[in-house]
Amino acid sequence: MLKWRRKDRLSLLEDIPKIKGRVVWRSIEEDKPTVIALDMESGFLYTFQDASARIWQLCDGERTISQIINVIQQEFPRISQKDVIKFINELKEDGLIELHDNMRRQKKILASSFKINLL
Amino acid sequence: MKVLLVNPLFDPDDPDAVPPLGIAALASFMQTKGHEVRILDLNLQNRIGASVESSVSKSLMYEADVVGLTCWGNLTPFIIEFCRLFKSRRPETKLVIGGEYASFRAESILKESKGDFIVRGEGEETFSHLLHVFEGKENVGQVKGITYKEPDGILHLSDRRPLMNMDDLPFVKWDLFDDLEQYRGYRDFRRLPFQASRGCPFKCIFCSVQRTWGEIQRKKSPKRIIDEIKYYINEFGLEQLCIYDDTFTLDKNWITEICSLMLKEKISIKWNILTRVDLVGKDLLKTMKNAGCVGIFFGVESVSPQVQELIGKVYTEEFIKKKVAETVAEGMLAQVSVIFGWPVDTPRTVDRLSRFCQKMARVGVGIHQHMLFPLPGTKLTEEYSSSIIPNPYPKMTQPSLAKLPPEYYSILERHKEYVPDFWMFKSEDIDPQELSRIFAETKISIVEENIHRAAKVTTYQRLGLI
Repeated sequence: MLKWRRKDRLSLLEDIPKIKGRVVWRSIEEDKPTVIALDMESGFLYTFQDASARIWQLCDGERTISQIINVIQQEFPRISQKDVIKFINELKEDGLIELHDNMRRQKKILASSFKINLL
Repeated sequence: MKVLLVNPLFDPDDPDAVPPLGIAALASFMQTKGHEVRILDLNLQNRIGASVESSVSKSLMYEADVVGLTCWGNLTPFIIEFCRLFKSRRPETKLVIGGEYASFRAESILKESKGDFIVRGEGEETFSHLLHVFEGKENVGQVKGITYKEPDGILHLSDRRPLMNMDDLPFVKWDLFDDLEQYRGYRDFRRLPFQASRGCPFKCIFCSVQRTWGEIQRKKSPKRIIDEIKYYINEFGLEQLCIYDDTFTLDKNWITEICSLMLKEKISIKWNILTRVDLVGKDLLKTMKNAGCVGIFFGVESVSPQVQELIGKVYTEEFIKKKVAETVAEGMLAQVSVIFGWPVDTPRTVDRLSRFCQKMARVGVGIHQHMLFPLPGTKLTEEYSSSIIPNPYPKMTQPSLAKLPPEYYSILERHKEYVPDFWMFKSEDIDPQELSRIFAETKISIVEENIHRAAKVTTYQRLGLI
């Protein structure tokens, strides 16, 4: 929680959420998007529906939070950026996802390419 | 004597909770012997029950001469710490530990805790004799079925023969509980647990029932059963009965007589039972249904021949499905218990069991999904002791662990070796992580099927079809 508050809002939006390997989950075919997830570590079973299920599906370790917000706002116009961040924060608090620092990753990629150029 | 029986915290939030039968039956027996008995169920006292300190303080308030504790499943760590603290506060009170788990690990539990005696096997007679010892009426060396400390070591006195006439047992005095209404199953459905018989002739390798209760099914007489049920209806407003006998339908004639007496006496309660799929037939199901039986819990365990051969329960998947279908066709709720993690399991057997669960859930059969753990006193644990490994995800495989307060869970972690659910059996052919993943996938499949079924019902309701 503290880490989130301290972090610069823009860099936070560039973080990449990824579902932890200990969580087994499945999207199921229903009238609305539905996800069932089981955290093997805590033993807790979660059911997500609608926007929350869609956010979960988008936490694929590829998209940034900012990109997730864009998709959600197109599919669920009533869901705000704040709602998405709040939900992702809750998932992190429950230990279901991890956040990868995309800014740091980008810097590393830049640094390594710079090194290659020098060589 | 003043006796306090303590039921340690096991499941702090069980929505179907009924008062604990074992401790209630023991208390009722002791009361008929003239003792002053009280019951403290720590499952009803969340804030107290989660802490050893507060549980001991609460227990001390009863000023009992003897404190008895039930020890089964994952309760041992709490009991060890409870006894140590209790003894430091009031050493003169006798601490007696009973229950299935204590019976099979008597020596180590006695050493670890500061308990005075372990009552092994069936408790009523043994505990009663032990109280005579405390009263100075009997010599400790004459009490069969106990384990205790002597200056030169731990003594196991010979096993006591089980009580043969079950009609000698008194009716359970449910008013020994301070407030029955606190049990949700009783409060909401007037549901109480019941035992009509003890013992099982089947030698299932993973089960300790036979070693605990004996291989002969000792039954209460049908008349006695009816009288007992009538007593619970009149005194406690009983409407639903959970019959906890391990193989209730072993003797068809006995069941038929009980059912016809229920009809004759116009007893209109709902009841459910536990049994095996090979012990029910269409006629018996119909008879039980007519007498109020609403649900049957079948111990299926596995559907793969190589696993069934190991367990000692051999019947085909088709046969299981047939029996479950017959139960459902009679309008009863069927539930099946399945176990993953056998030492002979392979990806194929596990996958087959997973698909079986999914199919059963699809047609509305309740699934009780378990991970096999080493239960003391079983042939399986003895034969495969070298295959015992830590369970990577105990909170997933035993949901009651996930509900325990953190401070209570840490007690379990301090005495890991006494927590069966922290362990499992290694299979040569399947990795524990992979097994756990399939276990989790199965759980999700069951939830998915339940969601689909609920959605179907809603659609049918919307269309006016049901």
